[in-house]
Amino acid sequence: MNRLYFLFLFLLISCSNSNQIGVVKNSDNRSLKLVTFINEYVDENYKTLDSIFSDSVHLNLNNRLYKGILKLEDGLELYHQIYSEISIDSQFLCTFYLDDGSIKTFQKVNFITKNKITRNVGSIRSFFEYKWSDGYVVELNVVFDSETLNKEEKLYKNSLKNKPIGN
Amino acid sequence: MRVFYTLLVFSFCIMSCTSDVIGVVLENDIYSYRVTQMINDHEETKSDFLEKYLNEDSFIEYSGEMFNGKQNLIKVWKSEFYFFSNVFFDNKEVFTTFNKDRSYTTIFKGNWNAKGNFTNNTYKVYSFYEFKWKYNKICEIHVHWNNEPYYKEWNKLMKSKEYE
Repeated sequence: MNRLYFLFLFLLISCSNSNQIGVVKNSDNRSLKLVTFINEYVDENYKTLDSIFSDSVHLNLNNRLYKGILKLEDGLELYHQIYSEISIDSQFLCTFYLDDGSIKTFQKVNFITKNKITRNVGSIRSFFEYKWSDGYVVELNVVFDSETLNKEEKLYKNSLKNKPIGN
Repeated sequence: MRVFYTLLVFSFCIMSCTSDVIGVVLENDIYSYRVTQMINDHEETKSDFLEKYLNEDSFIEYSGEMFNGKQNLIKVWKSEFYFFSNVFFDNKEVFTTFNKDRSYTTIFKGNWNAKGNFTNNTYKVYSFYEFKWKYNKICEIHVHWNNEPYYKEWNKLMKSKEYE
């Protein structure tokens, strides 16, 4: 009995850490939902958006602030207007469950894009931070190098200006 | 009875191994402390802590660009001060994860604030840093942020050169 007691005590001591404030997971429900979200986004499918994001989700896209799930959908559609093809080269994500009850997911995605007008192929390396509350994402911060996108967007807008009317 | 205890211990081990947990989050640990010092150093345009803890063959991935080797990495880290001044971070958050493979990763995130030396613009950029540790030294740094301020300062610098 004593031996068993000491064995459990040893396991508990070795597992516990006074500095520990949470755990990291990558195959939990939230992580899997966000993998699905990114994969569906590539396929221009936004059906699951409202099961993941709160209606009043706060968006921070390279320090530009937006609010609401409709804004999110508009933003996601914009990239498909500029690019004829979007695919995922690599992605990594993990969800942090902190002892104070807060939950957040970090996701890194490398997108490969092909411009509709110039046919340029490029890559956009993006970082996403999702904050969860009551099972929904209530805040999304996205950071990526906007230079490539700005150039492509300019080309796309210019191509619209030069489009003959009536076609 | 002995069989019962053995089964109990065995099931405990199995349960811990099949968990979907891939790491634990640490706070106020030695790695978080070191990264905090590096960032504080950076705000004071110093890189002593970074130099102390960088591995010789470390590499940095800076928004998709790769730089190899300690000296290269320090050069990149310091190049910021040619383009910007008054660099500081707000909304700082730092923590370390102890991963299932027994490695440590320190995550730092915050808003990078600076004044452009050529445009006089002020910038605020959300940035995210990952420091991967190996044998007490940093072997990889991954920086995620928007390079826009660099392009703006670079363009201004190039324009000023045209009239020289």
